[in-house]
Amino acid sequence: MVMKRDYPGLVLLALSDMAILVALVMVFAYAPREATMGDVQRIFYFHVASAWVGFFAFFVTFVAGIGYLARRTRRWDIWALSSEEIGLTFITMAVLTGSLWARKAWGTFWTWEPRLTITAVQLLVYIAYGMLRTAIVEPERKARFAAVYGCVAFVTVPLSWFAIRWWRTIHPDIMAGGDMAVTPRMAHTLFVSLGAFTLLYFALLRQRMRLEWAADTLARLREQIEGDDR
Amino acid sequence: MTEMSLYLIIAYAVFWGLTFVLVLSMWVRQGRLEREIQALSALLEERSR
Repeated sequence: MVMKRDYPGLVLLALSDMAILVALVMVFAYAPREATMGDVQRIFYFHVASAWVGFFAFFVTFVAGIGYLARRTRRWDIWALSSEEIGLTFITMAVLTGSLWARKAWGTFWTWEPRLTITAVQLLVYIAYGMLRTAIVEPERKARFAAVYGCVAFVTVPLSWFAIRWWRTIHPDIMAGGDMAVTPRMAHTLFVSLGAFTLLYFALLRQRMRLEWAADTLARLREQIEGDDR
Repeated sequence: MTEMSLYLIIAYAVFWGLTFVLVLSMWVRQGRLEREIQALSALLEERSR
């Protein structure tokens, strides 16, 4: 049995790579230098895009969790776990790039204000998702527990989103404008970055799901061989 | 190099670094799984002859 080349997946990867390159060119050559923060503000485009992909990935895990609980099919579980892994990577990216930006904007890498505190909790909650999956051996039980956990963990996403509106916080709200004036060129660059990161998410998700299908194929072959040996 | 541009470079290096680690880990896992699938498929084919 030879695994087929995934040509649509490769095309998606190539497209997302090109989109990221376009976004990079816009970040450094098209977007203007921000008056107050200077060049360090250019972190903003990929920081916001990473956070967006993280939130979206956790939303997919939430929907796939509900799908699994309703249908009990492996496909939904694969969606959930693949998306969670990518979401965790992108939220980590958002935290690290955000802290570098904060060093210039707030004079510190980290402060325990509401948005950052909730993001730290969110990071730990989704690390625990992976630990939960590793701890349970029986596949059906693992998928069921992970689906419920993935749905509950999603609470951290709206909490993080609304934290800057509900509580007093120093984190800027790009929707409301705030301290940083977003010019049209900045907005174009941000939207291209968001689109490029979303494409990258789907390209990575497809590859991560293929990995899980391959693991299932391997498990079936092992069972077949063990059955023959008995 | 100013402190500001250093932060900017580190931030973009973090993005590339983490993306690279994620893609590399998937690639390594995929390669290992494909090798095992091929080995077991060959074993099954041999037994069926």
